[in-house]
Amino acid sequence: MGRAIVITSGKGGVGKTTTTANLGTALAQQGHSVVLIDADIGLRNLDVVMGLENRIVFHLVDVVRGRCPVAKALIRDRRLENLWMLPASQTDDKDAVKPEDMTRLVEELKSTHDFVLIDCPAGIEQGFKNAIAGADEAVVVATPEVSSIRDADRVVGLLAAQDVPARLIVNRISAHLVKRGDMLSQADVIEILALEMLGAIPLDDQIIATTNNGMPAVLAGKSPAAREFIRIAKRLAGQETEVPAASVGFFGRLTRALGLAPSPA
Amino acid sequence: MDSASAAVDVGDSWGDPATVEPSAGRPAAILRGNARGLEIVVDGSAPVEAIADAVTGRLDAAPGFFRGTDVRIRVEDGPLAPGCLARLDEITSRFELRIAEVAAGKAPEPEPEPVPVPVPVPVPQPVAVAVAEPEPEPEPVLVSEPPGEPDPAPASPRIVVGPVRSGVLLEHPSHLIIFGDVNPGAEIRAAGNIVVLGRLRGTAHAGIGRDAGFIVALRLEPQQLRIGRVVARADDSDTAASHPEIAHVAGDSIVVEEYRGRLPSALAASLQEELHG
Repeated sequence: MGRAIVITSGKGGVGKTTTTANLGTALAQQGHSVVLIDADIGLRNLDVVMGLENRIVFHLVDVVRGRCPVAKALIRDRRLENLWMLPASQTDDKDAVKPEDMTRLVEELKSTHDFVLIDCPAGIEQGFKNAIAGADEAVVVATPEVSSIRDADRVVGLLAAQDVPARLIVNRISAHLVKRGDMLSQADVIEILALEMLGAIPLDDQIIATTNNGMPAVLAGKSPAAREFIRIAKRLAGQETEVPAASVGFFGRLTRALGLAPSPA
Repeated sequence: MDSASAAVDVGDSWGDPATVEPSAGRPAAILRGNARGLEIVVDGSAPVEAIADAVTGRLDAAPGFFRGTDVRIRVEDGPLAPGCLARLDEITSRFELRIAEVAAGKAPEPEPEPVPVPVPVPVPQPVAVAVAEPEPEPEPVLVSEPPGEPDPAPASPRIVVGPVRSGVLLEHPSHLIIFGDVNPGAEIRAAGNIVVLGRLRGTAHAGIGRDAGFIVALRLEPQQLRIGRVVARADDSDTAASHPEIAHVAGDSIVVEEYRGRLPSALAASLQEELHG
């Protein structure tokens, strides 16, 4: 039986879709069978980021309404044979699907794949409720900004109310800006969110290029962000990996050495 | 009846004197918070207007506090006069309460209040919140039983394990104790006092309906503090202290000082009175 993981944030534009695309691709590269579900009905983006938008025939709402079996709607990735995507509908809105529909769909996909990653829309309304319905666990994406942290905190509370355990990815962190005092640090983010850390994706220009040309950065695998996504994917799959020194910093290494690192909530 | 009259003379500090019916010997209506929730106990033999005034007066003391709560109406010495229930329905709707049940007769044996976790002093013992005061002090919202009647389990302190996340609203008709942080965007409200064994960064409102009370936190960094009807927000220039602090009312404003393991003497005195008085 596979695992269903919802990638959520509350705030829009912090990197959920990019994270879903890159983590999914990395997991597939590492040999797992992966389905990505775009749950952002009406504002779909995962198809663009994966470079599959021209191949959409059926979508999530078609499957939920019984117009086609899910296998017909899944689009296989051009580059990796064990990676599929279920696109959202662009012409419906989020009321087209109910949480029970998502739970059923996710259960079905879990039985035939190792990982089902659900790209959650921004917000906490019907779209969010649908996206978390089938999930076993959550990855919360937050940028080191007060508004993002505030929204993520809200979301974690809502996830906890549904008994969905959550872990954190801090996205778009710039060690250089943190050192200058112009950006919140990873520690600042964890201090409020009190979540187990999966990793911290550095601010990386290459991400913008890759999301626009539909080639997730982990395919080339060279940029700093790509390397961190690959490491997080291994961690998600249960491998113990070291958080790289750069994202921890001197005091972080010191506190870890002294056994004083912040512990998971 | 004699004991009831004695109760009115000595013990009934909860009633607005204007609504006490000397001949009936008891208030036309009282509010009671207990393990089963909020109850309005009505003297069925009192005139409709007296009942309506008593209920309105008590709910007015903290108009928003019980919004959305279910309330049970218990009628003693009923039945209610015609039109009374309609009046009560209209009044409770106005305060956005829902009448869940109307029952007649004395309250049944109270269920024992489940004791959450034994907490050492200075956590107050479970007890009704307000204390006998000379009028015309603001009316306490929650009421203890006048002596002579069966004692329903009064609301006891509520213990919460945090973190209390943004968007969560915690309300309690007695004292609140939170182990953990209260994050920005969270709101905690209590008729009693509030103790946060963590960082208080959200909004806290203590002493609802009482105009007295205190808030203690290991790190007091709130968006806003309220005690009773007094509001305070941190100055933009305030830097967070690195020691526990206590906020309480002095005159018309909220005063914050370091908490060194001991309540300021005035607060300690009134809390002692509440516990043993």
